[in-house]
Amino acid sequence: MSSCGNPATEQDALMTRRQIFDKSKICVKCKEREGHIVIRHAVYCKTCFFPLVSTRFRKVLGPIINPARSSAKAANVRGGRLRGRLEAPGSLLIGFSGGLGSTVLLDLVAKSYFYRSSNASAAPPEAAEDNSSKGTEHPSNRSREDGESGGIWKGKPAVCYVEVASILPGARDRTEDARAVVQSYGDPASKFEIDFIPLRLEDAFDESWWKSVGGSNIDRAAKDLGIDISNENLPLYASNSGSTPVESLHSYLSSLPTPTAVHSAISSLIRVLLIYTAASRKASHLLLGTTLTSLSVNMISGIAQGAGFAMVAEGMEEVWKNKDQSMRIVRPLRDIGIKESAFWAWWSNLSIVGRERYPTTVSPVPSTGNEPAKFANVVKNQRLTSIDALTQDFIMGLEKDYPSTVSTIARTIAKVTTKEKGVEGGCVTCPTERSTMESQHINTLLS
Amino acid sequence: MASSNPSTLNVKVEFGGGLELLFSNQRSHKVTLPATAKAPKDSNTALPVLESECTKPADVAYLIHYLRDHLLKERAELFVENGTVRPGILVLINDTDWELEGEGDYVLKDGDEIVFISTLHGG
Repeated sequence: MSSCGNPATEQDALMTRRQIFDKSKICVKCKEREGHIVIRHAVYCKTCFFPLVSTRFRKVLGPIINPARSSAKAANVRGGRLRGRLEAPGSLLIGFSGGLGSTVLLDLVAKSYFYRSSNASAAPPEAAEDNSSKGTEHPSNRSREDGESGGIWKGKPAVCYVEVASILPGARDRTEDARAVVQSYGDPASKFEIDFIPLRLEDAFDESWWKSVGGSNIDRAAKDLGIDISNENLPLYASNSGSTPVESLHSYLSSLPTPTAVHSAISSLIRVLLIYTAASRKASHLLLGTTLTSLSVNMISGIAQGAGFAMVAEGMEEVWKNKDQSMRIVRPLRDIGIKESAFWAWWSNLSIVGRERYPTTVSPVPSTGNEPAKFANVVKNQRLTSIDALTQDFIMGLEKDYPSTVSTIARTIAKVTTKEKGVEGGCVTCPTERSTMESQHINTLLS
Repeated sequence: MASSNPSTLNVKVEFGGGLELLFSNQRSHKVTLPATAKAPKDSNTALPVLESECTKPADVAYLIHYLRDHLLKERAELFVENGTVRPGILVLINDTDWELEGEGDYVLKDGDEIVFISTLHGG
């Protein structure tokens, strides 16, 4: 408590401290047990916390599993359970960064659709002893007469991890740590496993990778982008064909003018890698572990960078279309804050691989080897100069003192819509279906 | 884990979410604190304190400064900011959100378990 400093008021008048939680410490859900966590001024006990989070998760993902043509009435989200059969038109791919959100996402997907535990908090997959504790997606519970899967998604679920250590000199490669996390959800008894697809950021500049995912059309591939920023027309020059993918990546990122551009480019390249990997596996759903807090950060930093259509798309389910397939990019944790995610991870004893903050500058040439000392200096000397890093620090501070505000940011921006639909042709680094309405207008601007 | 010396407290401190990297890469620590802590100037628990300075029961705020001064190996600004934990670091006191226990004002008892979790890894 402290004085407000206004001399016109009584000197002894003190400003009372903001109430962190309403009413009492008893759980607002069961009204029986003492609370263990405060979520936006509401108190929940540990027992009620897990169903609360998993319900919020299923309420976002459940209604969009079936194809869009399904009746809206079939998507009854009572308790996150749907009436009728869940049947996705393709396979499932989960984007995994090693961070808190994607770790919790993987755990929620596994426990909601592949393992069902009577103890919602807890049971690690290997503790499930009988089929009744396994989800409908688990192979042991799948209907045999339906063919190969008989489950919600076709084929085997997969997790895709993109390693970015090549642009951080001396940074630790976490690919094997990520693999271990994914493999921990396997069930040897029933031969159930989740495919692990390790990628590297430089794969976006690797022609052989593009061919492997069927995206060899150079007009739409994000490779060999040499940009001459001294020329206001921003012409593109093909890079030296003898460059390795790592060299091409460094050449590209080092040519970008600002730390914000570097951060944005890295995010876009990761997104391209995930989208084309998902498309090559005929995935109908690509899940990303963006939490409510991260969503607010992305939206505010997007506004600061002039994002319009992309910012709106961030807050809702996106649809990516190719000539012969359609895929939904979903953020099922968008109603779950970073705090709830952290508590879920801690109470479920999840192993967090971790991820490095993206660099603000990248050297034109790759580092020659493992240089932990150099990496320590890089991390130490990094300044928070990118809009994304500054926004994240702002939002984290805001969430500490005003937790409801972070939620309000995401919900308010989610109401924003755009007038026009966009431009046909898409972008090399973030291909998205656009309409033709503005194509001539944009061509006029560029000529 | 009970302390045999009534003038000291034994508490278990754990770090998660990458914070352990700042504390010798060790996730779990057993810390012995004075039960009644003198409040030194600038909250620096490594400095000698004057007899004239007041005393108070050791609370979580004191523990945070103690960890900064005695266990933290590097980058103190990643753990402490403005006299408390940096935004993005969650604190659990005996498996309960510290917001329910009075945050830094919670008076420590012998055998308490305090957990610090970083949420700065993002999505």
